[in-house]
Amino acid sequence: MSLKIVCLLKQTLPTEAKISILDTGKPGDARSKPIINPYDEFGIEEAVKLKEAGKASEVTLLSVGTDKWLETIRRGLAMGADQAVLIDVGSEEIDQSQVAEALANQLQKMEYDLVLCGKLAVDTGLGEVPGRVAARLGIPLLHVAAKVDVEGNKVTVERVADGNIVHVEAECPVIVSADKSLNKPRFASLPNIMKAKKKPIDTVALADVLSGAAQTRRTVKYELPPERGPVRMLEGENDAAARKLVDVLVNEEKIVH
Amino acid sequence: MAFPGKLVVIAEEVSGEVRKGSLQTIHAANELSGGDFRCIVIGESKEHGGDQAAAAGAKNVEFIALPNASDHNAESVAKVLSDTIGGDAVVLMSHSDLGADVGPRLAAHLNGAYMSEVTGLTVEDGKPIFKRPIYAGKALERVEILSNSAVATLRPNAFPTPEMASGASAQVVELTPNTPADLKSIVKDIVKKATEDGDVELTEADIIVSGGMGVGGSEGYKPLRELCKVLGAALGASRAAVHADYIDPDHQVGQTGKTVSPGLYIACGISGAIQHQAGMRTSKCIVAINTDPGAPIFQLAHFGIVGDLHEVVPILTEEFKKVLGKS
Repeated sequence: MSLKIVCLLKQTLPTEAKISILDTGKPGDARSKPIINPYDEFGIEEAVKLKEAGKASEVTLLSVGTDKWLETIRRGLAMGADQAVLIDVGSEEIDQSQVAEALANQLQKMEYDLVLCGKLAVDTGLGEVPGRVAARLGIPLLHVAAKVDVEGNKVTVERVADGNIVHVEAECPVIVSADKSLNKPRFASLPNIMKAKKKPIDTVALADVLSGAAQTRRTVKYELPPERGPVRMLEGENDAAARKLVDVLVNEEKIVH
Repeated sequence: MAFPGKLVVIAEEVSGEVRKGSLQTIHAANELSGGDFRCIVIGESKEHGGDQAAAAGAKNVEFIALPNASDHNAESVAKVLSDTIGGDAVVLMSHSDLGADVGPRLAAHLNGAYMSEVTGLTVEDGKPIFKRPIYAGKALERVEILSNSAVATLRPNAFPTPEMASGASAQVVELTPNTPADLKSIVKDIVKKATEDGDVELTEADIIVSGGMGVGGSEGYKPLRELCKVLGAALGASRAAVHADYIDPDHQVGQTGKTVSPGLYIACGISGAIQHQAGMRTSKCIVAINTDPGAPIFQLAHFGIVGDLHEVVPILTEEFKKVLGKS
Protein backbone atom coordinates (compact mmCIF):
# COMPACT_ATOMS: atom_id res chain seq x y z
CA MET A 1 0.00 0.00 0.00
CA SER A 2 1.24 3.40 -0.89
CA LEU A 3 0.14 6.28 1.27
CA LYS A 4 -1.36 9.61 0.37
CA ILE A 5 0.19 12.17 2.69
CA VAL A 6 -1.07 15.65 3.56
CA CYS A 7 1.43 17.99 5.26
CA LEU A 8 0.11 20.97 7.19
CA LEU A 9 2.15 24.11 6.56
CA LYS A 10 2.06 27.37 8.48
CA GLN A 11 4.07 30.42 7.57
CA THR A 12 5.88 32.01 10.53
CA LEU A 13 8.61 34.51 11.24
CA PRO A 14 12.10 33.02 11.55
CA THR A 15 13.16 32.09 15.08
CA GLU A 16 15.87 34.79 15.08
CA ALA A 17 13.35 37.58 14.32
CA LYS A 18 13.50 40.64 16.55
CA ILE A 19 9.95 41.04 17.78
CA SER A 20 8.42 44.42 18.56
CA ILE A 21 4.85 45.62 18.87
CA LEU A 22 3.96 47.13 15.49
CA ASP A 23 1.63 50.05 14.79
CA THR A 24 -1.19 47.55 14.33
CA GLY A 25 -0.83 46.67 18.03
CA LYS A 26 0.35 43.20 17.06
CA PRO A 27 3.81 41.73 17.46
CA GLY A 28 5.95 41.29 14.38
CA ASP A 29 9.18 42.03 12.58
CA ALA A 30 8.78 43.82 9.26
CA ARG A 31 12.39 43.20 8.28
CA SER A 32 12.60 39.43 8.43
CA LYS A 33 11.49 37.15 5.64
CA PRO A 34 8.85 34.60 6.61
CA ILE A 35 9.68 30.91 6.64
CA ILE A 36 7.90 27.56 6.84
CA ASN A 37 7.20 26.90 10.54
CA PRO A 38 10.34 24.83 11.38
CA TYR A 39 8.32 21.99 12.95
CA ASP A 40 6.06 21.77 9.87
CA GLU A 41 9.23 21.62 7.77
CA PHE A 42 10.25 18.45 9.64
CA GLY A 43 6.86 17.01 8.65
CA ILE A 44 7.36 17.89 4.98
CA GLU A 45 10.87 16.41 4.99
CA GLU A 46 9.53 13.17 6.49
CA ALA A 47 6.76 12.97 3.89
CA VAL A 48 9.18 13.48 1.01
CA LYS A 49 11.49 10.83 2.47
CA LEU A 50 8.57 8.38 2.67
CA LYS A 51 7.75 9.10 -0.95
CA GLU A 52 11.36 8.57 -1.99
CA ALA A 53 11.33 5.26 -0.09
CA GLY A 54 8.31 4.15 -2.13
CA LYS A 55 6.00 4.16 0.90
CA ALA A 56 3.98 7.17 -0.18
CA SER A 57 2.52 7.97 -3.58
CA GLU A 58 1.62 11.60 -3.15
CA VAL A 59 2.45 14.55 -0.89
CA THR A 60 0.02 17.48 -0.67
CA LEU A 61 0.65 20.63 1.36
CA LEU A 62 -2.34 22.18 3.15
CA SER A 63 -2.35 25.70 4.61
CA VAL A 64 -4.80 28.10 6.18
CA GLY A 65 -3.36 31.50 5.25
CA THR A 66 -3.42 34.26 2.69
CA ASP A 67 -1.97 34.88 -0.75
CA LYS A 68 1.08 36.32 1.06
CA TRP A 69 1.97 32.73 1.89
CA LEU A 70 2.36 31.57 -1.73
CA GLU A 71 6.12 32.05 -1.87
CA THR A 72 6.57 30.06 1.34
CA ILE A 73 4.28 27.32 0.04
CA ARG A 74 6.40 27.16 -3.13
CA ARG A 75 9.41 26.49 -0.92
CA GLY A 76 7.59 23.48 0.51
CA LEU A 77 6.85 22.31 -3.02
CA ALA A 78 10.52 22.74 -3.89
CA MET A 79 11.38 20.32 -1.05
CA GLY A 80 9.49 17.66 -3.00
CA ALA A 81 5.77 17.95 -2.29
CA ASP A 82 3.58 17.43 -5.37
CA GLN A 83 0.84 20.03 -4.94
CA ALA A 84 -0.70 22.38 -2.42
CA VAL A 85 -4.08 23.58 -1.20
CA LEU A 86 -4.41 27.04 0.34
CA ILE A 87 -7.50 27.86 2.36
CA ASP A 88 -7.54 31.62 1.89
CA VAL A 89 -8.73 33.53 4.95
CA GLY A 90 -8.35 36.89 3.21
CA SER A 91 -8.62 39.64 5.79
CA GLU A 92 -10.65 37.54 8.23
CA GLU A 93 -9.22 37.04 11.75
CA ILE A 94 -9.66 33.51 13.00
CA ASP A 95 -8.17 31.66 15.96
CA GLN A 96 -6.38 28.33 15.97
CA SER A 97 -9.52 26.38 16.88
CA GLN A 98 -11.11 27.72 13.69
CA VAL A 99 -7.95 26.92 11.74
CA ALA A 100 -8.25 23.34 13.01
CA GLU A 101 -11.93 23.25 12.06
CA ALA A 102 -11.18 24.49 8.53
CA LEU A 103 -8.33 21.97 8.15
CA ALA A 104 -10.54 19.11 9.36
CA ASN A 105 -13.34 20.04 6.98
CA GLN A 106 -10.95 20.34 4.04
CA LEU A 107 -9.25 17.03 4.92
CA GLN A 108 -12.65 15.32 4.81
CA LYS A 109 -12.93 16.41 1.18
CA MET A 110 -9.50 15.03 0.34
CA GLU A 111 -8.05 11.53 0.15
CA TYR A 112 -5.43 11.05 2.87
CA ASP A 113 -3.89 8.25 4.88
CA LEU A 114 -1.32 10.18 6.86
CA VAL A 115 -1.28 13.81 7.99
CA LEU A 116 2.13 15.18 8.97
CA CYS A 117 2.57 18.48 10.80
CA GLY A 118 4.72 20.19 13.40
CA LYS A 119 4.07 19.71 17.14
CA LEU A 120 3.54 23.48 17.38
CA ALA A 121 4.13 26.70 15.47
CA VAL A 122 6.97 28.87 16.71
CA ASP A 123 4.89 32.08 16.62
CA THR A 124 1.89 31.25 18.82
CA GLY A 125 3.71 28.39 20.56
CA LEU A 126 0.28 26.85 21.14
CA GLY A 127 0.45 23.28 19.82
CA GLU A 128 -3.32 23.33 19.50
CA VAL A 129 -3.96 22.32 15.90
CA PRO A 130 -2.75 18.67 15.81
CA GLY A 131 -4.85 17.52 18.79
CA ARG A 132 -7.85 19.48 17.68
CA VAL A 133 -7.83 18.19 14.10
CA ALA A 134 -7.44 14.63 15.41
CA ALA A 135 -10.32 14.97 17.85
CA ARG A 136 -12.49 16.59 15.19
CA LEU A 137 -11.80 13.86 12.62
CA GLY A 138 -11.91 11.08 15.19
CA ILE A 139 -8.54 9.76 14.09
CA PRO A 140 -5.49 9.04 16.23
CA LEU A 141 -2.73 11.60 16.79
CA LEU A 142 0.79 10.41 17.46
CA HIS A 143 2.15 13.57 19.03
CA VAL A 144 5.75 14.86 19.20
CA ALA A 145 7.35 12.16 17.08
CA ALA A 146 11.11 11.74 17.17
CA LYS A 147 10.99 8.82 14.71
CA VAL A 148 8.34 7.60 12.29
CA ASP A 149 8.16 4.10 10.89
CA VAL A 150 5.61 3.15 8.24
CA GLU A 151 4.83 -0.47 7.38
CA GLY A 152 1.95 -0.68 4.95
CA ASN A 153 -1.04 0.76 6.75
CA LYS A 154 0.57 0.83 10.18
CA VAL A 155 2.44 3.84 11.57
CA THR A 156 4.72 3.53 14.60
CA VAL A 157 6.17 6.55 16.27
CA GLU A 158 8.92 6.95 18.82
CA ARG A 159 8.45 9.82 21.23
CA VAL A 160 10.16 10.96 24.39
CA ALA A 161 7.83 11.61 27.31
CA ASP A 162 9.05 12.30 30.84
CA GLY A 163 12.50 11.25 29.67
CA ASN A 164 11.28 7.77 28.67
CA ILE A 165 11.20 6.49 25.13
CA VAL A 166 7.64 5.53 24.20
CA HIS A 167 6.56 3.64 21.08
CA VAL A 168 3.00 4.30 19.97
CA GLU A 169 1.33 2.69 17.00
CA ALA A 170 -1.84 3.29 15.04
CA GLU A 171 -3.43 2.39 11.73
CA CYS A 172 -4.10 4.91 8.98
CA PRO A 173 -5.70 7.36 8.74
CA VAL A 174 -3.52 8.98 11.39
CA ILE A 175 -1.94 12.33 12.25
CA VAL A 176 1.71 12.50 13.25
CA SER A 177 3.19 15.68 14.70
CA ALA A 178 6.93 16.21 14.38
CA ASP A 179 9.50 17.03 17.02
CA LYS A 180 12.78 18.66 16.05
CA SER A 181 14.81 15.45 16.27
CA LEU A 182 12.74 13.80 13.51
CA ASN A 183 15.10 14.69 10.64
CA LYS A 184 17.21 17.40 9.04
CA PRO A 185 15.18 19.19 6.35
CA ARG A 186 16.89 19.43 2.97
CA PHE A 187 17.79 22.56 1.07
CA ALA A 188 15.87 22.63 -2.20
CA SER A 189 18.06 22.35 -5.29
CA LEU A 190 17.78 24.94 -8.05
CA PRO A 191 16.12 22.51 -10.50
CA ASN A 192 13.57 21.61 -7.81
CA ILE A 193 12.90 25.29 -7.12
CA MET A 194 12.24 25.73 -10.86
CA LYS A 195 9.98 22.66 -10.95
CA ALA A 196 8.03 23.93 -7.94
CA LYS A 197 6.92 26.97 -9.92
CA LYS A 198 4.85 24.70 -12.14
CA LYS A 199 3.27 22.63 -9.38
CA PRO A 200 -0.44 23.29 -8.77
CA ILE A 201 -1.67 25.34 -5.81
CA ASP A 202 -5.46 25.17 -5.40
CA THR A 203 -7.19 27.92 -3.48
CA VAL A 204 -10.25 27.24 -1.34
CA ALA A 205 -12.40 30.01 0.13
CA LEU A 206 -12.54 29.99 3.93
CA ALA A 207 -16.34 30.18 3.87
CA ASP A 208 -16.45 26.80 2.09
CA VAL A 209 -14.74 25.00 4.98
CA LEU A 210 -15.62 27.03 8.06
CA SER A 211 -19.33 27.23 8.57
CA GLY A 212 -20.50 28.35 11.93
CA ALA A 213 -17.46 27.51 14.06
CA ALA A 214 -17.08 30.51 16.36
CA GLN A 215 -13.92 32.01 17.75
CA THR A 216 -13.05 30.49 21.15
CA ARG A 217 -10.60 33.11 22.39
CA ARG A 218 -9.40 36.65 21.76
CA THR A 219 -6.12 38.37 22.53
CA VAL A 220 -6.97 41.55 24.41
CA LYS A 221 -3.40 42.83 24.54
CA TYR A 222 0.06 42.14 23.22
CA GLU A 223 3.10 43.36 25.12
CA LEU A 224 6.85 42.95 25.31
CA PRO A 225 8.45 41.23 28.31
CA PRO A 226 9.72 43.61 31.02
CA GLU A 227 13.20 45.01 30.49
CA ARG A 228 15.98 43.61 32.61
CA GLY A 229 17.97 45.89 34.90
CA PRO A 230 21.73 46.03 34.38
CA VAL A 231 23.79 42.97 35.24
CA ARG A 232 25.79 43.04 38.48
CA MET A 233 29.30 41.91 37.65
CA LEU A 234 31.22 40.12 40.38
CA GLU A 235 34.74 41.38 40.03
CA GLY A 236 38.10 40.07 41.12
CA GLU A 237 40.14 36.93 40.61
CA ASN A 238 38.21 33.76 39.87
CA ASP A 239 38.09 32.51 43.45
CA ALA A 240 37.09 35.88 44.90
CA ALA A 241 34.35 36.31 42.28
CA ALA A 242 33.10 32.76 42.80
CA ARG A 243 33.01 33.16 46.59
CA LYS A 244 31.14 36.44 46.20
CA LEU A 245 28.60 34.78 43.90
CA VAL A 246 27.95 31.98 46.39
CA ASP A 247 27.50 34.57 49.13
CA VAL A 248 25.05 36.58 47.02
CA LEU A 249 22.97 33.54 46.01
CA VAL A 250 22.85 32.05 49.50
CA ASN A 251 22.70 35.10 51.78
CA GLU A 252 21.34 38.01 49.71
CA GLU A 253 19.03 36.41 47.16
CA LYS A 254 18.39 33.34 49.34
CA ILE A 255 17.82 31.24 46.22
CA VAL A 256 20.18 28.45 47.21
CA HIS A 257 19.69 26.78 50.55
CA MET B 1 -12.42 36.13 45.31
CA ALA B 2 -14.88 34.27 43.22
CA PHE B 3 -14.04 32.67 39.94
CA PRO B 4 -16.63 33.22 37.24
CA GLY B 5 -17.88 29.76 36.28
CA LYS B 6 -16.72 26.28 37.15
CA LEU B 7 -13.02 25.75 37.72
CA VAL B 8 -11.43 22.30 37.43
CA VAL B 9 -7.82 21.28 38.05
CA ILE B 10 -6.41 18.08 36.58
CA ALA B 11 -3.46 16.90 38.70
CA GLU B 12 -1.10 14.12 37.67
CA GLU B 13 0.24 11.63 40.18
CA VAL B 14 3.24 9.61 38.96
CA SER B 15 4.90 6.89 41.07
CA GLY B 16 3.36 8.11 44.32
CA GLU B 17 4.12 11.80 43.78
CA VAL B 18 1.85 14.53 42.49
CA ARG B 19 3.86 16.39 39.87
CA LYS B 20 5.37 19.64 41.04
CA GLY B 21 3.71 21.40 38.11
CA SER B 22 0.34 19.98 39.26
CA LEU B 23 0.90 21.21 42.84
CA GLN B 24 1.62 24.66 41.40
CA THR B 25 -1.56 24.43 39.33
CA ILE B 26 -3.59 23.59 42.45
CA HIS B 27 -2.03 26.58 44.19
CA ALA B 28 -2.82 28.88 41.26
CA ALA B 29 -6.45 27.67 41.23
CA ASN B 30 -6.68 28.33 44.95
CA GLU B 31 -5.40 31.87 44.57
CA LEU B 32 -7.79 32.46 41.70
CA SER B 33 -10.97 31.05 43.21
CA GLY B 34 -10.49 31.16 46.97
CA GLY B 35 -10.64 27.38 47.06
CA ASP B 36 -13.81 26.88 45.05
CA PHE B 37 -12.64 24.37 42.46
CA ARG B 38 -12.81 20.71 41.65
CA CYS B 39 -9.48 18.85 41.70
CA ILE B 40 -9.35 15.63 39.69
CA VAL B 41 -6.22 13.60 40.38
CA ILE B 42 -5.27 11.04 37.74
CA GLY B 43 -2.71 8.37 38.46
CA GLU B 44 -2.07 5.12 40.29
CA SER B 45 -2.42 5.81 43.99
CA LYS B 46 -5.56 7.30 45.50
CA GLU B 47 -3.85 7.65 48.92
CA HIS B 48 -0.71 9.41 47.75
CA GLY B 49 -2.33 11.42 45.00
CA GLY B 50 -5.38 12.49 47.00
CA ASP B 51 -3.50 13.39 50.18
CA GLN B 52 -0.89 15.44 48.37
CA ALA B 53 -3.52 17.33 46.38
CA ALA B 54 -5.28 18.12 49.68
CA ALA B 55 -2.02 19.15 51.35
CA ALA B 56 -1.39 21.51 48.44
CA GLY B 57 -4.72 23.19 49.16
CA ALA B 58 -7.41 21.38 47.16
CA LYS B 59 -10.66 20.98 49.09
CA ASN B 60 -12.74 18.93 46.66
CA VAL B 61 -10.54 16.08 45.56
CA GLU B 62 -11.57 13.33 43.19
CA PHE B 63 -9.42 10.49 41.96
CA ILE B 64 -9.47 8.53 38.73
CA ALA B 65 -7.31 5.43 38.59
CA LEU B 66 -5.44 5.80 35.33
CA PRO B 67 -2.42 3.64 35.88
CA ASN B 68 -1.55 4.16 32.27
CA ALA B 69 -1.73 7.94 32.40
CA SER B 70 2.04 8.05 32.34
CA ASP B 71 1.95 5.86 29.23
CA HIS B 72 0.69 8.99 27.56
CA ASN B 73 -2.27 7.57 25.77
CA ALA B 74 -3.68 11.05 25.49
CA GLU B 75 -6.58 9.90 23.33
CA SER B 76 -7.95 7.85 26.22
CA VAL B 77 -7.13 10.37 28.95
CA ALA B 78 -8.85 13.22 27.08
CA LYS B 79 -12.04 11.19 26.58
CA VAL B 80 -12.19 10.07 30.21
CA LEU B 81 -11.65 13.63 31.42
CA SER B 82 -14.23 15.22 29.14
CA ASP B 83 -16.82 12.62 30.23
CA THR B 84 -15.96 13.27 33.88
CA ILE B 85 -16.07 17.06 33.61
CA GLY B 86 -19.36 16.68 31.81
CA GLY B 87 -20.15 20.32 30.96
CA ASP B 88 -18.88 23.87 30.69
CA ALA B 89 -15.74 24.51 32.73
CA VAL B 90 -12.38 26.20 32.78
CA VAL B 91 -9.83 23.40 33.14
CA LEU B 92 -6.28 23.97 34.37
CA MET B 93 -3.47 21.45 34.09
CA SER B 94 0.31 21.51 34.14
CA HIS B 95 2.08 21.82 30.80
CA SER B 96 3.72 18.42 31.25
CA ASP B 97 4.29 16.08 28.30
CA LEU B 98 0.87 14.58 29.04
CA GLY B 99 -0.77 17.99 29.51
CA ALA B 100 0.52 19.23 26.15
CA ASP B 101 -0.88 16.11 24.50
CA VAL B 102 -4.24 15.95 26.30
CA GLY B 103 -5.02 19.69 26.47
CA PRO B 104 -5.99 20.45 22.84
CA ARG B 105 -8.04 17.24 22.53
CA LEU B 106 -9.85 17.98 25.78
CA ALA B 107 -10.54 21.52 24.55
CA ALA B 108 -11.98 20.06 21.34
CA HIS B 109 -14.22 17.64 23.30
CA LEU B 110 -15.45 20.49 25.53
CA ASN B 111 -15.90 22.84 22.54
CA GLY B 112 -13.67 25.32 24.32
CA ALA B 113 -10.62 27.49 23.94
CA TYR B 114 -7.09 26.21 24.47
CA MET B 115 -4.13 28.09 25.88
CA SER B 116 -0.75 26.47 26.51
CA GLU B 117 2.23 27.44 28.68
CA VAL B 118 0.25 30.02 30.62
CA THR B 119 2.45 32.12 32.93
CA GLY B 120 -0.14 34.42 34.52
CA LEU B 121 -3.78 34.05 35.60
CA THR B 122 -6.08 36.81 36.78
CA VAL B 123 -9.75 37.68 36.91
CA GLU B 124 -10.43 41.13 35.42
CA ASP B 125 -13.92 42.64 35.14
CA GLY B 126 -15.36 39.26 36.03
CA LYS B 127 -13.47 37.50 33.24
CA PRO B 128 -10.51 35.18 33.51
CA ILE B 129 -7.46 36.53 31.67
CA PHE B 130 -4.61 34.22 30.67
CA LYS B 131 -1.13 35.62 30.13
CA ARG B 132 1.15 33.51 27.96
CA PRO B 133 4.39 33.91 26.01
CA ILE B 134 4.37 34.01 22.21
CA TYR B 135 7.33 34.08 19.82
CA ALA B 136 9.15 31.96 22.40
CA GLY B 137 8.84 34.61 25.09
CA LYS B 138 9.90 37.55 22.92
CA ALA B 139 6.36 38.89 23.40
CA LEU B 140 3.37 38.15 25.62
CA GLU B 141 -0.34 37.98 24.96
CA ARG B 142 -3.26 38.43 27.33
CA VAL B 143 -6.14 36.25 26.27
CA GLU B 144 -9.81 36.20 27.16
CA ILE B 145 -12.07 33.29 26.38
CA LEU B 146 -15.13 33.67 24.18
CA SER B 147 -16.51 30.15 24.53
CA ASN B 148 -18.14 28.58 27.57
CA SER B 149 -15.23 26.24 28.25
CA ALA B 150 -11.47 26.47 28.14
CA VAL B 151 -8.43 24.34 28.81
CA ALA B 152 -5.22 26.04 29.91
CA THR B 153 -1.90 24.35 30.61
CA LEU B 154 0.31 26.21 33.08
CA ARG B 155 4.05 26.43 32.50
CA PRO B 156 5.91 24.55 35.27
CA ASN B 157 7.63 26.91 37.74
CA ALA B 158 5.79 29.98 36.43
CA PHE B 159 3.56 29.72 39.53
CA PRO B 160 4.81 29.17 43.09
CA THR B 161 4.93 25.74 44.68
CA PRO B 162 2.56 25.67 47.68
CA GLU B 163 3.67 24.86 51.22
CA MET B 164 2.34 21.40 51.90
CA ALA B 165 -0.03 21.38 54.90
CA SER B 166 0.96 18.59 57.25
CA GLY B 167 -1.57 15.91 58.10
CA ALA B 168 -4.03 17.07 55.48
CA SER B 169 -6.18 14.22 54.37
CA ALA B 170 -9.03 14.83 52.03
CA GLN B 171 -12.24 12.96 51.55
CA VAL B 172 -11.11 11.66 48.21
CA VAL B 173 -13.97 10.56 46.01
CA GLU B 174 -12.95 7.83 43.64
CA LEU B 175 -14.54 8.03 40.21
CA THR B 176 -14.72 5.07 37.88
CA PRO B 177 -15.52 6.40 34.44
CA ASN B 178 -15.67 3.99 31.52
CA THR B 179 -12.46 3.93 29.58
CA PRO B 180 -13.06 4.14 25.86
CA ALA B 181 -13.12 0.72 24.25
CA ASP B 182 -12.35 1.78 20.71
CA LEU B 183 -8.90 3.29 21.19
CA LYS B 184 -7.23 3.79 17.87
CA SER B 185 -3.68 4.25 19.07
CA ILE B 186 -1.82 1.74 21.18
CA VAL B 187 1.18 2.34 23.39
CA LYS B 188 3.40 -0.59 22.45
CA ASP B 189 6.22 -0.21 24.92
CA ILE B 190 8.02 2.24 27.14
CA VAL B 191 11.76 2.16 27.47
CA LYS B 192 12.63 3.72 30.80
CA LYS B 193 15.61 5.81 30.09
CA ALA B 194 18.74 5.06 32.02
CA THR B 195 19.41 8.36 33.75
CA GLU B 196 22.72 9.35 35.19
CA ASP B 197 22.96 9.42 38.93
CA GLY B 198 20.84 12.21 40.37
CA ASP B 199 19.62 13.50 37.00
CA VAL B 200 16.87 16.06 37.57
CA GLU B 201 14.18 16.79 34.95
CA LEU B 202 14.81 20.14 33.30
CA THR B 203 11.35 21.69 33.03
CA GLU B 204 10.45 21.21 36.70
CA ALA B 205 13.92 21.92 38.15
CA ASP B 206 14.40 24.74 40.68
CA ILE B 207 18.01 25.22 39.64
CA ILE B 208 19.61 24.61 36.25
CA VAL B 209 23.32 24.59 35.48
CA SER B 210 23.75 24.92 31.74
CA GLY B 211 26.78 24.62 29.48
CA GLY B 212 27.44 25.89 25.96
CA MET B 213 30.31 25.84 23.48
CA GLY B 214 32.58 27.12 26.24
CA VAL B 215 32.63 23.68 27.87
CA GLY B 216 34.77 22.58 24.91
CA GLY B 217 33.60 18.96 24.64
CA SER B 218 31.61 16.23 26.38
CA GLU B 219 34.30 15.91 29.08
CA GLY B 220 33.78 19.59 29.84
CA TYR B 221 30.35 18.84 31.34
CA LYS B 222 31.98 16.94 34.23
CA PRO B 223 32.53 19.98 36.47
CA LEU B 224 29.00 21.16 35.63
CA ARG B 225 27.57 17.78 36.69
CA GLU B 226 29.51 18.08 39.96
CA LEU B 227 27.93 21.47 40.60
CA CYS B 228 24.50 20.02 39.71
CA LYS B 229 24.95 17.32 42.35
CA VAL B 230 25.75 19.81 45.09
CA LEU B 231 22.82 22.07 44.15
CA GLY B 232 20.32 19.33 43.26
CA ALA B 233 20.20 21.01 39.88
CA ALA B 234 19.33 19.82 36.38
CA LEU B 235 21.88 19.96 33.59
CA GLY B 236 21.09 22.11 30.55
CA ALA B 237 22.90 22.88 27.30
CA SER B 238 22.81 25.27 24.36
CA ARG B 239 21.81 24.28 20.85
CA ALA B 240 25.37 24.80 19.61
CA ALA B 241 26.72 22.35 22.20
CA VAL B 242 24.06 19.78 21.25
CA HIS B 243 24.83 20.23 17.55
CA ALA B 244 28.53 19.76 18.28
CA ASP B 245 27.60 16.41 19.91
CA TYR B 246 28.98 17.50 23.29
CA ILE B 247 25.78 16.33 24.97
CA ASP B 248 22.45 14.55 24.42
CA PRO B 249 19.63 16.65 22.82
CA ASP B 250 17.41 15.98 25.88
CA HIS B 251 19.40 18.67 27.69
CA GLN B 252 18.83 21.40 25.11
CA VAL B 253 17.32 24.62 26.40
CA GLY B 254 16.04 27.11 23.83
CA GLN B 255 13.45 27.86 21.22
CA THR B 256 13.78 24.44 19.58
CA GLY B 257 14.63 22.74 22.87
CA LYS B 258 13.02 22.94 26.27
CA THR B 259 11.54 26.07 27.79
CA VAL B 260 12.45 26.47 31.44
CA SER B 261 11.66 28.94 34.25
CA PRO B 262 13.76 27.84 37.22
CA GLY B 263 14.48 29.98 40.27
CA LEU B 264 18.16 30.02 39.31
CA TYR B 265 19.78 29.50 35.90
CA ILE B 266 23.57 29.35 35.78
CA ALA B 267 24.78 29.76 32.18
CA CYS B 268 28.36 28.55 31.78
CA GLY B 269 30.20 29.26 28.53
CA ILE B 270 26.94 30.16 26.80
CA SER B 271 27.10 33.26 24.59
CA GLY B 272 23.32 33.74 24.76
CA ALA B 273 22.02 33.48 21.22
CA ILE B 274 18.45 34.71 20.86
CA GLN B 275 17.21 31.10 20.42
CA HIS B 276 18.76 30.18 23.76
CA GLN B 277 17.35 33.24 25.51
CA ALA B 278 13.89 32.25 24.27
CA GLY B 279 14.09 29.07 26.32
CA MET B 280 15.34 30.51 29.62
CA ARG B 281 14.57 34.23 29.79
CA THR B 282 11.76 33.78 32.33
CA SER B 283 14.19 32.26 34.87
CA LYS B 284 13.90 34.27 38.09
CA CYS B 285 17.64 34.69 38.58
CA ILE B 286 20.20 34.30 35.81
CA VAL B 287 23.93 33.95 36.41
CA ALA B 288 26.36 34.12 33.48
CA ILE B 289 29.93 32.85 33.52
CA ASN B 290 31.78 33.59 30.30
CA THR B 291 35.29 34.53 29.18
CA ASP B 292 33.88 37.10 26.75
CA PRO B 293 32.68 40.23 28.55
CA GLY B 294 30.79 41.22 25.38
CA ALA B 295 28.68 38.04 25.27
CA PRO B 296 24.94 38.84 24.89
CA ILE B 297 24.12 36.60 27.87
CA PHE B 298 25.41 39.37 30.18
CA GLN B 299 22.60 41.65 28.97
CA LEU B 300 20.06 39.14 30.22
CA ALA B 301 21.88 38.06 33.38
CA HIS B 302 21.35 39.40 36.90
CA PHE B 303 24.83 38.40 38.01
CA GLY B 304 27.93 37.87 35.92
CA ILE B 305 31.48 36.63 36.21
CA VAL B 306 33.97 37.17 33.41
CA GLY B 307 36.13 34.10 33.65
CA ASP B 308 36.85 30.60 32.42
CA LEU B 309 34.13 28.20 33.53
CA HIS B 310 36.72 25.41 33.88
CA GLU B 311 38.30 27.40 36.69
CA VAL B 312 35.25 29.16 38.13
CA VAL B 313 32.79 26.24 38.29
CA PRO B 314 34.98 23.91 40.44
CA ILE B 315 35.54 26.79 42.90
CA LEU B 316 31.77 27.39 43.00
CA THR B 317 31.18 23.69 43.70
CA GLU B 318 33.65 23.65 46.60
CA GLU B 319 32.32 26.92 48.02
CA PHE B 320 28.66 25.78 47.84
CA LYS B 321 29.66 22.51 49.54
CA LYS B 322 31.24 24.49 52.37
CA VAL B 323 28.45 27.03 52.77
CA LEU B 324 25.66 24.48 52.48
CA GLY B 325 27.43 22.11 54.86
CA LYS B 326 27.72 19.34 52.32
CA SER B 327 31.48 18.80 52.52
